[in-house]
Amino acid sequence: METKNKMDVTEDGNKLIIERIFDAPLELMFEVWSSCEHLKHWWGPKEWPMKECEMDFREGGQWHFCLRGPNEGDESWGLATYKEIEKPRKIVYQDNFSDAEGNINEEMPGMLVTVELFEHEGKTRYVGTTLFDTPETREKVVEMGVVEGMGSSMDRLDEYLDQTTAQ
Amino acid sequence: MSRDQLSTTFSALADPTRRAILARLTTGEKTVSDLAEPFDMTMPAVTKHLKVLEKANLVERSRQAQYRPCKLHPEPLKDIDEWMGQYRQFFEESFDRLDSYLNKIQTKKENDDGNKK
Repeated sequence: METKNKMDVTEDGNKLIIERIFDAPLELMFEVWSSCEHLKHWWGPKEWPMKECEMDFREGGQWHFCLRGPNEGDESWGLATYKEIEKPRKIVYQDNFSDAEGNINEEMPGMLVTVELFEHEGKTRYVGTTLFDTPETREKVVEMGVVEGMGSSMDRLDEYLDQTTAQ
Repeated sequence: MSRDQLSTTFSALADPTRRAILARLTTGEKTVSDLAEPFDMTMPAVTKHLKVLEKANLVERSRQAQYRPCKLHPEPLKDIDEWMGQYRQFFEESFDRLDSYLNKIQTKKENDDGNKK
């Protein structure tokens, strides 16, 4: 019986870092990120699997996908643009919420995602870094208490006020 | 919580004056003129920002008192926390599926390789 691999999550300002070990060689791990054929088997929660996928896997290329939820009309479109591809270790992409036509939803935070893969005792260590990039909004929202909840949100909002008025 | 509501919240928070108004409301109810004071802004300008915040459900205005004091309504901020939780959950669940998928394709490959021999 294999034990489930643990996912480590670190939050640092507007950065979210996810680490996890996978029982697969580095090359295969890179491959499963590189095509719709693979991604359709695992991208998205069980209840929200990926139902549409178009991908041009090269720097400057795009990945347009749709996740469908359990209820009629539940769908979430995403549009990613590849910034950097370094086979088989690194993929950097800008991820945005979009519509079916590929128009980006500017009001939702964009995310700059860096996928890094490392050999680890015959397995692969995955390090995914998400940088939430609606510059001010995202940072302030994180400051307002994504980590510690509402009590400290208000304290942080206070601190933020001090900074703002001091300017 | 819907995507549209989240968009509205993010959009309302995008403006520094509106964030500062929210920050001031953390210390308690304020009237529009209380709020206008430190910003060197006219009352209509502050009212305009308040309307955006009200629409985003981040501020409530009393209907009773003559001055209609403003009150912070922090629930939508909680939704953003939740959204972050969902983002993490997204990876948690995807990666569990990826584990099974990797297991499946590697087992298949071993079998295929075995059959060739």
